[in-house]
Amino acid sequence: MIRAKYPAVLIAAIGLTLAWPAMAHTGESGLVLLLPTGYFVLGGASAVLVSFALVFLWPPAHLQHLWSKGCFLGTVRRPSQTAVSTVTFIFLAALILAGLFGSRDPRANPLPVTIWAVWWGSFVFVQAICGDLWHFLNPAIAPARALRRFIGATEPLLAYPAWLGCTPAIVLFGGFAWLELIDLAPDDPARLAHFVLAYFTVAMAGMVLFGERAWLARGDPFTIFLRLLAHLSPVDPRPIPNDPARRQIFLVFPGARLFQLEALSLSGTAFLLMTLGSVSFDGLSRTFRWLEWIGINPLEFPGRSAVVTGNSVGLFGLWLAIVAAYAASILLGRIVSGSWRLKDAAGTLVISIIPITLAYHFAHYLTSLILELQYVVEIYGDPLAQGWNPLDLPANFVSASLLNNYSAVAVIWTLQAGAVVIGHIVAVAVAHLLNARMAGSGTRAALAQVPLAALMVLYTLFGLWLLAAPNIG
Amino acid sequence: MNQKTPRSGAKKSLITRRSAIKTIGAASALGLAPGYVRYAQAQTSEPLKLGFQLHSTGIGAAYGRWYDRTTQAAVKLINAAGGIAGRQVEIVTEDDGTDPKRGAEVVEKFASQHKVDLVFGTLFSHVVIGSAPRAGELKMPYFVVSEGYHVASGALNRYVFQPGITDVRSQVSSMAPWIAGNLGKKVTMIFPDYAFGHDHRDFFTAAIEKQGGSIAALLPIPPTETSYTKYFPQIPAETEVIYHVMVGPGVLTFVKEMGEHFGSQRPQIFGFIDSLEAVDLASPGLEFLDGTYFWEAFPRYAGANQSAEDKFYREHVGVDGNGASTADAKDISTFSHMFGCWETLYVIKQAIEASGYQGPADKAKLIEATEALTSFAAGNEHPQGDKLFDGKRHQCYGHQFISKVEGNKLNVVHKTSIEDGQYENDTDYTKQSL
Repeated sequence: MIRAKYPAVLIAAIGLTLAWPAMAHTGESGLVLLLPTGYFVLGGASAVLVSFALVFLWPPAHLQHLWSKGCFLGTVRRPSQTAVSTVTFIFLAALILAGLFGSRDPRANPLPVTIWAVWWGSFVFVQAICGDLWHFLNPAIAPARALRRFIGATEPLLAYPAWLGCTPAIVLFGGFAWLELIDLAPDDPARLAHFVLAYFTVAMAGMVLFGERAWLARGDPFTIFLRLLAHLSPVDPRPIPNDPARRQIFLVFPGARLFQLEALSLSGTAFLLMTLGSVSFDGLSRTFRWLEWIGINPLEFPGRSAVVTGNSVGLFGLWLAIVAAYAASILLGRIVSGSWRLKDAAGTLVISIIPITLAYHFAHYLTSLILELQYVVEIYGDPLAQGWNPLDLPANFVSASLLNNYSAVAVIWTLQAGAVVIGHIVAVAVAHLLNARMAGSGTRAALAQVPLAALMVLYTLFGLWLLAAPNIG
Repeated sequence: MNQKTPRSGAKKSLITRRSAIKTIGAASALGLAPGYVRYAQAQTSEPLKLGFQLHSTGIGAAYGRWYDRTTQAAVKLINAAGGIAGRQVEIVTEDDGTDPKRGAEVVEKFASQHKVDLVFGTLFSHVVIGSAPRAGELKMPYFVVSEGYHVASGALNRYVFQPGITDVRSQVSSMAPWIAGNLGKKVTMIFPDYAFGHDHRDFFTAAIEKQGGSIAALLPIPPTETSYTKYFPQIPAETEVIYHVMVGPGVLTFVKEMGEHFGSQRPQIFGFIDSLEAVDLASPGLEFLDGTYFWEAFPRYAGANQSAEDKFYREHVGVDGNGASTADAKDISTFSHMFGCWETLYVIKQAIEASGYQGPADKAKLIEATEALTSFAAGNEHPQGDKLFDGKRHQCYGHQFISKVEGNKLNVVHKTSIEDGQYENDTDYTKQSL
């Protein structure tokens, strides 16, 4: 009886009262609209352009020399990878149990905030600052080793197919980005616990089948991504001959270690561009402009379920567009240089995208982390939602005031925009050196980097526009 | 600082025996404490499980954060006072992501997984409209806190109630008598050009004409607009009152540009606090609002004539006299909406106790008992004020407030009568079968 009545009355109701209360409440994005962001957008893009001109005139050897300086800090003993991984595995297992059986509210359960805010939102920066901590912290390593011992598979069961390249990483990261940006309930604790378990199973299977080294280098998206970011770190651990258990730690210029990286494969290149594409699309998908394109009134955002198709096309479409733009810049560079090998150029110069990816990660997650990390403090003090308060936090501890206060928003926006500009400037310099390494000196070789630099200036404009554009927060 | 007792944000609302004894003093402040004997009985009963459909994430999260705090505060008090019908209350929170499809899934989870006694708390209209049909199909009592007209319009079903917050039609209509009598009768309306703005346009036009007023001009603004200067010259010179209901990130720009357009010579200006809910009135660009008027459901600023129940409510939710968090004076609450959770919980209490509800088999009794309610008295249970309840429409009717912006604060200048917000329609949910 009741079901039969719905369609007609609901159509009437939707026509009348879809938008109560006022949906897109003004806040941080409203304050950003009051800031003189237009000047910053142009200024930022100009800064990248000027820095390119300066770098262009700077002899690569001088820059290389400057960047290769290091300061010896001391010697450290490497921790046991298995031991550290065992600890993080136990922590993850506890989190999964909390996700399955703890509070249903993602703002009271430790799993969602740990995955999204602590690990994906924040740990990425820790890795970029401190170096490859993930090498030890990866919770799948210890159980995979134990499983291999248990089944007696000391050697990989299968050789990793070379033709596969980083395709598994692309597929897994695509799924991860889709979960974060498009799935209806990525914060639902139990749902997220199932996703984490599914990923964990794949990671274990990959390591047992193809061996730890092969899978982590080409199949596991997070290890690949975090290893690349670790090369931005000023901490440079160098091996000591005949002492594999210890490392000499040098302090180097941030980004200097990027030059230690070998050229990425084509699929690795596509993977890295996907990490940039997904974070860029998250910003784009919140803008009025994007919502208008997919036929959504930004003032009455109807929820994720209404934009699944549009945003799925957008997420993967933007990635493909970035790949196409990057490929075009490499092709143009090849034509100008006359000497680049396309595959090498694509895989080498993409290393210069790594600082941009980190900058976008920072700019994009900063505002949400301001709130989320407060929840982390609250939830870690009360992981079982029992009302514990070991830190004696005041009632209503979590505050959104930084996002609703003009001066604070001005500072936050400047940090975000500054990160985007600095990320691109570093990228331009890195590309300059990588190009010199690849193509040597000479006018044609130098000019070959112009198309990629032009793309970076355009992407700076895009990134700053994303920060300044009207959005739904 | 709250040294031993759980924070109001704590999710485990079923308080322990020890903390209940400690807080029994607070319970008696409500005038409800039934004494220790009744409390002891509660220990032998299964707790009542109330499903709390919360906008923890998604576009409604800023509201959701405060809906949660208000709910947890009210439940803590209810439990300290002996619970509902002698049974402690357990809140089971599920996040719907402010999405209608997920909302329906969450209602399903409440029914099949958590087996709650009822569901409450849904705020955003599109989520209510997406979730309420599933509640009806599952015969799950569904108490929304949305202020939408969708309940009273008759568009939903017999299991859906809105007893803790008035609806938009009532709110808008009740403004007209005071505006016509005090600000002027020739009104230009500036509103976003979609359903939200259209509701205002239609409800207010009818209400102001009933008062002998007229609409000088209607200025619908495209939702994607972010600069408004080209619209202000369209405001007719004879306009006595500008009625604005702009929303979204453009609000601050709108106010700033309106101020730049008019300078010191301006008509009277009236707005809805929905535009600036959770926004600090000291934000730049809002200086121009000084001397203008706003509708409020519950005055954000306590003012000189603060009632005892207002004080009680703020203390327990953790909100200061300026409507901000007691933990951070710059963290502004969603004061005109969140009281609805508190009051709805006390209506649920009243209905359950009147119905003799024991368990899911008694849901029909609970629906009928809720429909039989007629009024709620002002007090600690209903700090926003007294209300009438229409059992046929499943909707409450109450007082509204008109406040003037003075020195970055809102000072109440008028409290409407409940009758000002009454309207005619033929909704009668009691005719639907249970």
